[in-house]
Order: sequence, then structure tokens, then C-alpha cells
Amino acid sequence: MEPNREQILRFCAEDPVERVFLEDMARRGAGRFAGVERRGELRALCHVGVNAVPSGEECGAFAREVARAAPRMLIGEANAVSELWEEARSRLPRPREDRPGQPVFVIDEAPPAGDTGLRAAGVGDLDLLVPACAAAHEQEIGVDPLRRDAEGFRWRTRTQIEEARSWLWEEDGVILFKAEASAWTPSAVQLQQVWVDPEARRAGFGSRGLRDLCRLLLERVPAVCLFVRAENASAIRLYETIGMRHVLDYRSVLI
Amino acid sequence: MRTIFLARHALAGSNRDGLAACTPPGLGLTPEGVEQARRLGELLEHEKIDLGVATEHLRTQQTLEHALAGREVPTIAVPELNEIHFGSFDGGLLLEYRAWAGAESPSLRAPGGGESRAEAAARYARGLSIVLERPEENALVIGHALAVRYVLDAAGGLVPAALMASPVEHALPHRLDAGDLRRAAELLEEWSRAPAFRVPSVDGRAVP
Repeated sequence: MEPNREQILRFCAEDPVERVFLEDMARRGAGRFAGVERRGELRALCHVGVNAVPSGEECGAFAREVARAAPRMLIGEANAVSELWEEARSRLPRPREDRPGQPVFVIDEAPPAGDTGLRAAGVGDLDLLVPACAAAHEQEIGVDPLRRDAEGFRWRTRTQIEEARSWLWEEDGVILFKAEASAWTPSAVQLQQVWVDPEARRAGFGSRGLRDLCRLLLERVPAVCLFVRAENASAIRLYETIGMRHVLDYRSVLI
Repeated sequence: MRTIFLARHALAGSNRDGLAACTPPGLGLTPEGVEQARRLGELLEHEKIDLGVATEHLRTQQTLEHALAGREVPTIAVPELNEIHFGSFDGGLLLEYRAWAGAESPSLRAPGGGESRAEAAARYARGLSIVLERPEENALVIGHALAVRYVLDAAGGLVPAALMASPVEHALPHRLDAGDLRRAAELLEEWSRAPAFRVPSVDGRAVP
């Protein structure tokens, strides 16, 4: 069934961190959704697009619709993705990569100040940000977006800036810290593409920048969250150090 | 109308062959163009779109169709945004039209019953007004290279140039708000009444 906006928002309110992306898409009035309903309430929901993002119980029910959409990735709460993948795998290409157990971290109390020069990115920062965003994207997804679709990726990066969802701390053209919001709801902001230029690493800039960004965002929303590759030990250590808690796991199946 | 995503159509057979093509419906998209149009849909996946706008040309309609695939969005054709009428250059090499256009005044009509750049600009302004008056909030508008260039320049306060300084990418969206569009419509309409191309090296200034 095709759920309505109110059903989606009620469903997402049950777990606003896990479902932050779904709620953001619904509030924007964008994206395509499929749902499983019981007595008028959603038991499962799936965003069907470039990425398939399932959530809830019995997500295998979305297999046919997801296969038709030929997504590039299945991503979301680990059990929901596993149920969907088991049902859909025979109709989809062999995956490039399967990443179970990607920890999702959340913080809801402001960490100590980082005393950085963190600021909202402007369109004038676009040329500096595009290569860094692309490198972060490649690190997370395993594909260089500038090789696949440079103009499109530049457009996406610009859009994030124009929507005030991009922040950076830079000095003399070196990015000491940057991150973007991949989803934003009244309950939570989800960060992505957290990055420090290679020449500026191991100096504590990442921790300071992230602390200041979390402080900034926690003035506007109750929680800031992100997810990370399970093998990225240094990033996980950083998130734990600033007080983020591991609250659930995502799974990504890259196709 | 609040937000407009304006894009040139994806690669069509006439682009591949380097042809000037202004008679609707014209050739449709190439396989590469279909991929470009799908990518356009992906780029706009996070955006709310209430209305799709194309011209009478098949290449814009097919771009819209692929970009909005999976969405239930009403679509309309706005002929005022059609390709400029190339006159006797229609069906010939676009390079020949560009050579003529680069050397002639904006008020001169293309030979063979064609349209002048000033007339096209005035028509585009009417097309923008039609889109602006729609009750929907967010539209994807698929147009042609000249119209997209004129509108983007005009939204930034620039009058048209004799030739496009930079190509307009196929199927790449440009986000404009209603104010941008209104500004573009007013500037193009005003320019069309006393047209003079801008000096390419001097932002916005018309050739004396």
C-alpha cells in the first residue's frame, strides 16, 4: 500500500533516529514510499528510489517493488535490510559489497566546545568542498562520484550548501573539519561525509570540529546521529570520545 | 509557484547529429539521453515536485517522463518555451545557424520565416509568466539550450549574449525561486523591446 504522510510521520516518531531519513523525505514531500499496514497503522515502511530504505517488521514484503526500482543500495536498520535482501536478492544483481553491522551513533547532550572556526559553508566554498565530499563519498560508498557523474555530484554538493546543510572549518584552503546533514527532522539530524583533509589528520581537528557542530545542531534539534563503517576504528573512537552512543546497527548492501 | 528546477532536455537524436531542430515533435532521446534523464530524476529525488513542464518537442517531454518516473505529477506543455524558430536553418547543421546568429542583430529574423532572438526572448518571458501563475509550488521545467541560457543569465541580471559563452549541460537542474523567474521574465521582456547583445567580457552590459 502507499502510505499517507500522517501514517509515515507516526511510524517514524516511534524511532526518530533510526528513521530520520524516511521522516525527512516525507516532510519534504519527496520520494516514493511503500508500506505494510495493520489496523490503519504502518508496521513497515520502505523508501523506494536510488536507495531502498526499509524499516519495521516483515520488510521482505517490499521485495517486488524494490526490485522493480533497481536501487543502487539497500540501507537501513540491519534486520529490516536483511529481511528485504533475503526476499529481493534473487531479483537483483549480485552485490558489490555487503556491510552488516554498521553502528549508528547518537548524541543528545552538548559536548564540550571545540573552539574552532566552524561555520556554515557558502557557495564560495563549493570548489574546496567538492573534492573533499567526493573523497568522503568514495570512502563511504566505494565509488568515486566525480568519475561516475561529476556534474551531478557538484549539483548535489551545491544543493547541500544552499539548503544550509553543510559546515566546514578551514584554514588557508585546508579543511580541518567538514560534514553535511543527510537528513534533518524536528527530532534529529543525521550527519554524513565527516572529513578532515589528510594533511590535517591526527591533530584533534576532527574531534573539535564535530564537537562544535554537535553543539550547534543540538541547539536546534534534540539529537544528532550518524553511522559509520564497522571497520573504521578511528572514526568510531572519535565518536565515542565526544560522547556519542552506539544505539543500533544499519546494514548496507551495495549493488 | 515557489521553486523551479530548470533543465535543458537530455541528449536527443538532433543533438547527436548536430542539427538545428525546431519543428515539433522532432527526434526523441538517444539511449545516452535516456540515462541522462534518469539521472536528472535521481538528482531531484529529494525534492518535492508538483508539476512537470515541457515544450511541444518530444525531447523535452521524454526527458520529463524519465525524470519523473515513479511520481504521480501532472505535466503540461508550454509552447511559449519551444525551441527558437530557425527558419530555413531548420533541419540543417546547427553550426550554420550559429554562424549566422553570431554575426547578426538580435532583432533580425532568421531567413525563411524564422524568429529573431528578441522575439524568442519575449516568448520565453511569456512562458515563464505562465509557469509563475500556476498554483503548484514546485515545478520541473524542461526547456531548450537557448531558453535555459537566457533565463539563467536574466535571473542573474544579464541580458542575452550573441552566442552562448558556455554550453548548457543536458539534464542538469538549476534551482530558481519565483523571484528569480519573475526577474528573468521582466528582463527578457524589456530587452526584447530594445535588444542589444551584451559584451561577453562585460557582465550584463549591452553593446552600445
